[in-house]
Amino acid sequence: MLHAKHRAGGQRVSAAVPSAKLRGGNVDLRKATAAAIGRGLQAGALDAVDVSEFFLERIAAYSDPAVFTTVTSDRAREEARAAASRLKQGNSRGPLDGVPIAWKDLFDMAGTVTSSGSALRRHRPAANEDAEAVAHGVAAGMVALGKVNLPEFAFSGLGLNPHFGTPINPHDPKTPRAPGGSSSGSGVCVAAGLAPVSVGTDTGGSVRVPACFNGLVGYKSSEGHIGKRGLAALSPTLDTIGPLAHSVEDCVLLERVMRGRAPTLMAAAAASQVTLVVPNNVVFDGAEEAVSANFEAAIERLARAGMRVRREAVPLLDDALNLTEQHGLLAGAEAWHVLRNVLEGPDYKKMDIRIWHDLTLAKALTADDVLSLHEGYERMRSGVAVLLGSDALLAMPTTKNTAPPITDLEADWEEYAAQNWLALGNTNLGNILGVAALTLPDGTNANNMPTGFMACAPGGHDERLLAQGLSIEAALNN
Amino acid sequence: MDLSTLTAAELGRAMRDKKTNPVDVVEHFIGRIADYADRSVFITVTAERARQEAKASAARYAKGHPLGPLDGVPVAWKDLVDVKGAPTTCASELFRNRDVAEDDAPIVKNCAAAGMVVLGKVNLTEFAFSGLGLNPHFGTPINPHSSDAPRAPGGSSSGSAVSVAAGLTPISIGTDTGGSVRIPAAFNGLVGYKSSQGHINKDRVQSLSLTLDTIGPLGKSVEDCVLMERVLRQQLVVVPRAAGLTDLTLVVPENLVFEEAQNAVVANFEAALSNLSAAGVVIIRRRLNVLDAMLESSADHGTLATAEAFYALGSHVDGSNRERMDRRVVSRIERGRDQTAADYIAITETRRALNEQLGTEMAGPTFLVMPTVAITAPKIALLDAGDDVFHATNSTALRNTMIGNYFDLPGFTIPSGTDAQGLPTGVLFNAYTGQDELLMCYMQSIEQAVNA
Repeated sequence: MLHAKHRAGGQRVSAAVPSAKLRGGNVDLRKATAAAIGRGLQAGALDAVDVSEFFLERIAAYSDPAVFTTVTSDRAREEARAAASRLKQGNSRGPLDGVPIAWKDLFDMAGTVTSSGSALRRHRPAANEDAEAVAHGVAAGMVALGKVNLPEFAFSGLGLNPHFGTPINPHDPKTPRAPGGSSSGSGVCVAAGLAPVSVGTDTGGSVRVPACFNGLVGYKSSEGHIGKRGLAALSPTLDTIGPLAHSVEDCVLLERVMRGRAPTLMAAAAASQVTLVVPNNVVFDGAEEAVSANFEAAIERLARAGMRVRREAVPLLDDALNLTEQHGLLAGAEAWHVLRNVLEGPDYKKMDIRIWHDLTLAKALTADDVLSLHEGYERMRSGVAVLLGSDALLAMPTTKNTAPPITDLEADWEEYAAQNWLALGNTNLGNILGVAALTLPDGTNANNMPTGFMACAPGGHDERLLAQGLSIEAALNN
Repeated sequence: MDLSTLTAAELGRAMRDKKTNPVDVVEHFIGRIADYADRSVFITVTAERARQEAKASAARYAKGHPLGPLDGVPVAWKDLVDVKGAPTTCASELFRNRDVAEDDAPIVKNCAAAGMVVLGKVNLTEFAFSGLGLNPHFGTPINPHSSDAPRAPGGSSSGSAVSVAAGLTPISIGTDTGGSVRIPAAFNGLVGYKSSQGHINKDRVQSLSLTLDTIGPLGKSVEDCVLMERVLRQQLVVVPRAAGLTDLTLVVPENLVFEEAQNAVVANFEAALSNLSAAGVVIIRRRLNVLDAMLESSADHGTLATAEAFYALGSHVDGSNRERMDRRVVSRIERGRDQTAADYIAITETRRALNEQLGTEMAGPTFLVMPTVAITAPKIALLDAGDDVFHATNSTALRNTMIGNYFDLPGFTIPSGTDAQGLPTGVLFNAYTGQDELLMCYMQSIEQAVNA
């Protein structure tokens, strides 16, 4: 089960650039942001039907079959036609009308099975209606290409899936490397140019880790910021929704769309309105050299752009680790409750044994642990609000590692566990602290594997995080 | 004029009308407390503070500017609430000699800001964890309605109820986690109000269950409890207009709440209902499935109260402290030790879902009505005779009131009569979560109709 053969990733894709009649000759749709495609559609330089055909053909021709779990071609074509006709008639639904999108296979889409990446869910009845976030996407005119892969029940930061296949990280043409998880398909489909944007979920880092491993921007919203009706829950308290995209601008537009708001952009925050708090404890422990070096170079660029940098010990991070050591993870306790019937059911042996093991660790937690976690999380969340105030961001490397070779992970469970923790360690601190967070690409290592820069604002500060994120992105790209 | 029989509101009016004054009032009650035979009602009497506050109040009345209708009215606090300069003992040996509180709890400050006079702190079940009011270490306040034998005061706000019923204070503040305001109020022939979660501030109040603990007054009238609610929340002390009763629906559950009920309890309950019916209230009797679902959840996973009590107090029952605690309280705390994380999460999720379901069944002005307690105050000797009897009786006492905590319902208990021994019975009106104001509007009319 753990020895599936993996072909190397994206670059080997037969140059399946479809012969779409694209009038926007200077737009490379494989790398275009959702906003740019939207602008092309609004200007009439692109046609919504052509755009969706382009991506459907790319998906069909792509060599790695593990990225999409369901391709909703009929639906995409219908939505694209409707968008094209709206755009022609001047009835646009806004800047993302006609722009394709792929959804993590935890979201209900009417007529498709929500698999949660589990063989145990593969044959359940199809969903009757779209999840709330998906429905908001439809209302904004977006074209649903389909649903993308994840590790079973979204409970891993590496993205391996022995039953549905592991989407290969497209950044390494030679060695098959992990996509990052749990929104593995989301990360790969955007990085490989199979969709301009994808929506994942983040309970311990599941948007940010695959975004980082794939050189993308990822936005983890605050708890409660984006409605979760129709989303298969892992941890009702900590689950959050967020896009994986090519730009912060796309994340802003998607944030608007998924909340049912008009997708308008805010102004970037002035660099002088950004303070970066860089912890000198915890977040660099065990980090790969290139990860730390790229992070430091990013900080330097941001400081040069006029942002204030505070380097200090952040005791809250040690508190979070100690609390976890003593009482476990709230996400784990809730996931055990949510999935208990599966984990203790007759078919548990059909699960990814590593994920079954990690989920089952929480069985030993007591009510007293949960109450200690509730109180501890609340205390730390107040602490982070005080620490960061109204303009500071907690900055750290998104992951401590870069995408590891899949064969190493599958050969050695200890290596899997170690790499999983290097991937999730920093992001998970953010979930404990209840933050809203962005990851942005800040470079690559010697193997050309991407590294990420993470900025975290207190929970509820999504708006200013995104405004500051625009400014950080501009400074990093400068 | 016997000051001991007046309600808090009547005392305030008497002071405003210069029929008495705050200094005489406070001396009257300090004297009553000193003379009262049962020494287990008050744990701390804050005579010096009370005299000082009364003097300041008297000065305000003399100038014609009292702080409101309760200026100069004495109040006694359950000894879980911090009062500056006194130890918060929780009626536990473990805390008898602890350091004094450095500050008043916000609710105490709010009362002081309304001119009220802090008389002192009253007894409770150790850590407030039982509904009968027994306390082997601080003594059990005797129910003043006892005629044949010493009867239980009800708990856990035992001292609050007895202090008001015995005329040692016009009003007292308790806490309610499973019935701890309403049970002693019912056993002592008083009105008791349990607020919705979050309605009244709980800072500097010792926690038993973070989720279920609520604050509420025990008094002699609905008016007093409404006035106290205003003061505790630091709202303008304006009593809401009494609502008419003809658009009110009362739902009487046919399941659970009458099990093991004594005849007098049921008879008095039915008499109250026929008075309300005569006043135009619509009464519906039906099975409430959510109550069965609640019991099922508790049978499968235990209760929120035991899980949270173990979290709050579990450290005390390990080690040498255990021997210094009431073994019956220890045994109740212990029930939370083996509850798992999944139990706790299942309980809270089921509770949320059932609360939502109940909400759909309580649309419009609709209250759930039931006997406050299925029994009248039991003999203390009987309860002390065996822990099995104690625990069984405790469960019966808490059963109906706990429904209000489980569903986070604000509730009022008002007296409905007495049994053959002259022991009071109560009837409990529960509104839906957060509808404290609505409930208070109707309670004044309900009280009148029941007493008609």
